[in-house]
Amino acid sequence: MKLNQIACSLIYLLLAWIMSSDLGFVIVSYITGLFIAYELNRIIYKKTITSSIINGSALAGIALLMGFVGVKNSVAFFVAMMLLASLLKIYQAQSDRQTMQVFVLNFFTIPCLFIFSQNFFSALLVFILIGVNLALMLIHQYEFSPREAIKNAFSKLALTIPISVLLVLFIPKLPAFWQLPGPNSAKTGLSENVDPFEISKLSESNELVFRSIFPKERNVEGPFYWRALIHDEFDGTRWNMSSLQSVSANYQASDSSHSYTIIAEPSHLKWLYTLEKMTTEQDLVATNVFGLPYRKRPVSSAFEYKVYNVVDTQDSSITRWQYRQNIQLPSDLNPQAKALAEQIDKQSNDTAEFIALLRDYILAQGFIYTLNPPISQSNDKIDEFFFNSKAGFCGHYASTVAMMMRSVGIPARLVSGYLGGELNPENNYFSIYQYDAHAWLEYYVPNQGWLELDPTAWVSPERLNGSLSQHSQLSEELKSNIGMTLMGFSDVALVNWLRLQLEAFDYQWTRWVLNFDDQKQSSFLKSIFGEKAKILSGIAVIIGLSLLFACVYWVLQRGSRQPIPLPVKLLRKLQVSAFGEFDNTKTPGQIILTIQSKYPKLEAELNNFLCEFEKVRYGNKNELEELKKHYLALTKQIKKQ
Amino acid sequence: MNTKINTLLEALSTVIYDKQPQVKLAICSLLCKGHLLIEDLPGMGKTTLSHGLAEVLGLTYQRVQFTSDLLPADITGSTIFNTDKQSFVFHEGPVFTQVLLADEINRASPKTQSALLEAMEERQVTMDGQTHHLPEPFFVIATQNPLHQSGTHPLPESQLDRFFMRVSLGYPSKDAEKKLILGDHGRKTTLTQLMELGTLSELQSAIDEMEIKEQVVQYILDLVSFTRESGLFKDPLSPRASIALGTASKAWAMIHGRNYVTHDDVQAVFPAVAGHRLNLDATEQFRIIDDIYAQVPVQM
Amino acid sequence: MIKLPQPAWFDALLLKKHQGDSIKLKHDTIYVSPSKSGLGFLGIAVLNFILGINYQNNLILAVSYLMFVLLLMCLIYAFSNFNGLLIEVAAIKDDFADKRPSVTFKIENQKQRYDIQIEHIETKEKSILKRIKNNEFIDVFLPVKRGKHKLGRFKILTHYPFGLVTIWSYLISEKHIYAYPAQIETELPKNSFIISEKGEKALDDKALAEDFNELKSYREGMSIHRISWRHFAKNKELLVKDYQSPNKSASYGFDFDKVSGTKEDKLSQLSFLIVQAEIEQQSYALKLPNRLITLSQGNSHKKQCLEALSEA
Repeated sequence: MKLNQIACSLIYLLLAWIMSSDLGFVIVSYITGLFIAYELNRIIYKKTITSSIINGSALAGIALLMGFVGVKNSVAFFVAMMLLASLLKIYQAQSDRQTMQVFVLNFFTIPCLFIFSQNFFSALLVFILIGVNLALMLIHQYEFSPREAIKNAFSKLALTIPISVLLVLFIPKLPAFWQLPGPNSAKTGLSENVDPFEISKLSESNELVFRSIFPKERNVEGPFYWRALIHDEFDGTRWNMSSLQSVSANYQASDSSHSYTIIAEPSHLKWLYTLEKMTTEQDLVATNVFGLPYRKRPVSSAFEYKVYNVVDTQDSSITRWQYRQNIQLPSDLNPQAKALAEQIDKQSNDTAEFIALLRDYILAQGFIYTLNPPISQSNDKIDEFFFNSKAGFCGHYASTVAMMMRSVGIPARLVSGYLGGELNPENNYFSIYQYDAHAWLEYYVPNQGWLELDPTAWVSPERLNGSLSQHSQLSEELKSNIGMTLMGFSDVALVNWLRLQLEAFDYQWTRWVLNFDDQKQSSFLKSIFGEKAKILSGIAVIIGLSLLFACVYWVLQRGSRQPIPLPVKLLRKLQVSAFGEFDNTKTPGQIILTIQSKYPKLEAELNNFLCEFEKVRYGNKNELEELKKHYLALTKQIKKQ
Repeated sequence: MNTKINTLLEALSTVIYDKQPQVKLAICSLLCKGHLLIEDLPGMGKTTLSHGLAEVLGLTYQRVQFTSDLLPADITGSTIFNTDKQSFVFHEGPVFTQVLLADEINRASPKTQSALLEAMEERQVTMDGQTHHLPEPFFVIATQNPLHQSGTHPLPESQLDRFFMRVSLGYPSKDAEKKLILGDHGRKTTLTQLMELGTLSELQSAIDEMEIKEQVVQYILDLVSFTRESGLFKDPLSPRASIALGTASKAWAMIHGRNYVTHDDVQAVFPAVAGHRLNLDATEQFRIIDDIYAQVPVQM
Repeated sequence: MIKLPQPAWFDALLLKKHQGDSIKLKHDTIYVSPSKSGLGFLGIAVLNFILGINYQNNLILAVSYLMFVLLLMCLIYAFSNFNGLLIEVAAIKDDFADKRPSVTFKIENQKQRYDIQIEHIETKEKSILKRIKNNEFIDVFLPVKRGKHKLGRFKILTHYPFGLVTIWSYLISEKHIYAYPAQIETELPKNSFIISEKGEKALDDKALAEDFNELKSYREGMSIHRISWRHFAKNKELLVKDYQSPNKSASYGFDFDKVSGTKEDKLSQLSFLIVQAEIEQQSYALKLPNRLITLSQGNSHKKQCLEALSEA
């Protein structure tokens, strides 16, 4: 019983830890606490756990989860509840049946990890945990030793894994029946509303956001501004997502071949990424009026789409309504910045000049780029930043410049997305991580349309080239923010090499395993079966499976029989040839005697055979030649009679 | 080795006609340093067999006729006051011999039986705090009448397995009996010593070196566990019986001139070794033992 | 497992296939279904499938397929674990109803197998062999009431490997088992001794030859030949010489009508008396309302008497 509890606790701990960081922290500490409390209770008081303690722990656990995870985050809450329930159940289980129920439920609990994380190591972990769970079932039911159980369980599991992989490949995929909520994880990076002033410390994450794969022959040059969201509503501190973000528009591809492919990691948001205005043939992706891709449903598993550049049909004028929307500004906030903007406006003739003057001003004032900006208590947050602290990250600069442009009547809006990416030269793809998140702005110039502007680049021009991790000044700051990961040690060549290898492997994993969707499947099946792919593959699956099971059964039955040594085979054959059946309760001597009674003339031959048989079977003689000779002579004689 | 045993067998067959298997079992028991129980009606040649064995091996021989009034001291010996030396002197009883024929052991009272069985087991006699060792080799051939004869005390079940084997000679064949009638009587034939004492102990130690394969050991285990687990027997076989089966099979193989043990060897000695331990009636044991054989598969 | 109502033809089919004292387990005598845990497992596999489809998550989908395949594998493993066994009623151990009347099964087997269970369907009594390699014997205890019972149906089953499937067969035996009346300690009723000329004579012969063991006080019905007149002369006490040899020193006649109580009580007391008499190695006869068993002794006699008591 104790082994079950310890093992299950460890499984749940591991799951909670890996599922997601904030959720994990709460559950890990709670499970550990419970576990220690139970063990102490057992060791010190030598008592078993009463049901009131279990109920108390359950209530405390629910309260804790409500507080830290929240019901709103429904999937995480549900999974956390299930972990807790299973844990308490395994401690409370009185009968074998209850314990078995927990083990069976574990087959649901363990794969839940895949909702949160789908990389190769998670898959490996889930496989191992399922094996361990099977082994626990063996130990629990049949008193196997742990070693024996692990061996037994994994050998059976190892056989099923290739089959299930084949099934995934060949069984036609169904479309989703209904929409399930994804885990709302509060990640850094993209958010639908940008409010740089609320954040005192931009805790960066080195989680992968997406990869973009460029055709091999294409030489690409940065900087890469991966656009994702447009924010055009400003309330003085916060930029809200544009209401047009999910309004679709039709674009014509300008080129028949795609310019690059993007594999998005599950973000649990609808928004996708592109460099320029785009369109795609992927059914699930739509393009909005800004030329940005988005999905109807949040991206809950890795997802691939090809990007086609479009002919920009949008005319360079904007409607009055749009104009108003993009110069809208709360009138009573940030008077200093407005005053400064007006002052610069008076000195400049056109927008370009305005920007140049503003840039000069900022460069002259010694602004710095930091991931840990000071937090402001003032209502006029932009004034506070612009005239006092003069330290901030991309959001601060973009927000400030956009606001100042609006105050002088230049339509401006914030864009958030990612900047840069890490190139994997071998496969010509970029990896874009959460810490590459960036904000910049677009402003409107009549007859030219919307133009991009990145004020952060004025302050920190290195930020434009490549990823933040390659940024010499900021990389130290970044590393301290990321903490103890391989990225944190990227100075060490070996570690960096290892990190890149893992990264390349994960790329292939994502590309071929996670991204094996119904389009890929149908083209794969078509390449094998031709036109009637779906029907043929169904038939192939059935035939293949039944053949396989027949093979397994045959091997099992065969392996179960001990091999019969040749002398015994010969003796048995002799008995069968004389009497037509084999009797396994007779000794060799008796068999020979009964044959002798049937063929009295063969007495001498039979005795020779018996003598030789005994020598090889009971004695130390190894050569079988003489025995075979006697056998052949005997069978000849028997046939004659 | 085999030739020596064969000469023994030939010599014995001149006194006991037609009883090869039983004689072999007796020799087998002797080679295994185990005692022999012969169960038969009077006049079947029990005495002849034991006497003959002692003679061919050149061993000292004593015969004790057990009766209901026989006392323990009549077997083990007693301490007697010697008037000449003015001290107690131990007078060795008939048990101090190399071959002891305990005739009709079940006629004696249980106390007397126990005294003999104890001496058999411990190979020594303790009298008045003094231990007297019995000679080497020490081999008891006890005979008993079938139980249903009146005025007998059956040997206690718990002590039956002090006897290594139980055999029963049975009626002689017609030919043999004819020979007996014609006066060619075994007792008149004198046997000479055919084997040195050293040779016997050599043979005894050679048994340990016999080859016995896994499948034969398994067969012995299967037979023994069948008696334990089938629920058919009130007194199933003990581990001591398994050991006895092993050594007896080895000795049987040696008598037949082989240095390896076969399943047939096990079956040959099984009735003699297991019959009395399972408390089977000598007359019906073969039927039951055949049943056991039919239930336990032979894995060659 | 799901309990389906069994139609009559099904029963007849079962009887035809499974009746007898032994059964060889092979494809046409083995039945297979998911166990309760297995149904739960199947449900979770379906749940994982739905989850995998809806999240378009290949890995969850793979786990779901893996579970289906695992369940099928379990069927094969379980079948192979079961196939080829020969189950046989080896011995029926009659016993007192409060002890352990049991049936011994012999399992003929030549390979490593796990978790072989035999369940008596009527009493739900179950015995389990966690692992076997060679031939094995297994006792199934039958907690039946006093009487003669048909052994009836036994279910032979296994849940190996993971407890997700149940695979089973039946053995329906027509043999009988006796549950003797539980023993109730009681005094020897009066007039229980049988005075017979022949018996006494044999006794006297014996008495001469044997050491006597102790003196017991005389009770009515005992042989006057065994009274120690020497003691009577000394202190006017009637003492009987009790001999060490237990053989035929007295004979009892146990009569159903001479013990008191309800029918079951009476039977229980008789059961006790018979066992005691056998321990003392006395001969005894038994008289029941519908049956008379004549004077004798020994194990088979005891068995006969106890069986008669069970059937009464």
